[in-house]
Amino acid sequence: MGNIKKLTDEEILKLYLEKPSDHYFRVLHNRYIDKVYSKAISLLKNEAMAEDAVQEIFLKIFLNLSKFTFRSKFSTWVYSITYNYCIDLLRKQKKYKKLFTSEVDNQADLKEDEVNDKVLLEIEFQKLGKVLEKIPLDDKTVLMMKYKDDLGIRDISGIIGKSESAVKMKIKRAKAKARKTYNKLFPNE
Amino acid sequence: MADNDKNNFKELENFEASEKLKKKSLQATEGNVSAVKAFFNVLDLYISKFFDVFIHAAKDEGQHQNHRSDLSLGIGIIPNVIEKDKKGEFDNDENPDENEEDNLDNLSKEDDKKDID
Repeated sequence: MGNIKKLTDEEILKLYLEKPSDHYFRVLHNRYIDKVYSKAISLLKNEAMAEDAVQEIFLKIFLNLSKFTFRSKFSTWVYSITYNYCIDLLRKQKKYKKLFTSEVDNQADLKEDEVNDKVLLEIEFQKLGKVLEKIPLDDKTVLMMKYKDDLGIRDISGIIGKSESAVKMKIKRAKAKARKTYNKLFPNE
Repeated sequence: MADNDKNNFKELENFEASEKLKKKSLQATEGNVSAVKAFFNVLDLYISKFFDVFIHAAKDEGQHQNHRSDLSLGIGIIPNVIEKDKKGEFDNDENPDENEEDNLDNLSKEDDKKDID
């Protein structure tokens, strides 16, 4: 138990499943609470809602631990639950009723130039933050899923309920929008 | 992902949950998990009790059935009778109705004889 901090999430989870001890449970909780909270607050934009969401999300995580199949990373699974919960919560609000439900992509999108990842990832992070605040929430969310949380196309597809090709197109569009917004906000750069 | 390691997305929106939230979340989760565990323990207890009762009842029923099958040994011949009947082992007559009439005639003749005597 002394070296538990050196163990991976998956190793701790295996120990927890073998012998459900509050100790293992707390380690996983403490490793992820900031990450879950960050996602909740950046999506929900409301501190009280985010705090309530964090508690609900952890409850969901720990009640479903036995269903974790070890086919993905534990972090991916936690982020999926977090995004799912927050997206469901947002969809209950009138403003975001159609979040990720609108028909994706028309032919015109295919003509958009591919934005190089490097160009986007190297935007100074404060400016990047401003750009992401200006683009639609679903575009920001897919970019955060892909570039901040390193979720795979299949994971994102499962979370937002779209096909993998639709997700690829969504990311392509989101990148183009971010680039366009950046050019508008910072024309001299 | 980009060729180099630079990824400013990683720097974005890294909020820290307050100590109060950390404590509250942990307590809420542990409390709920314990409650759920307790619920399932009780459920488990009920299920095991139910199975005890069920198994006991099944054993009793098994004993009753053994008893009943002893009693019903005599009835076991019925399927044999039906089988034999299907095979026609009981009756080889081509026209049973006529034979029946003959038999009735014979009986009535015997009765007449008795009356005369």
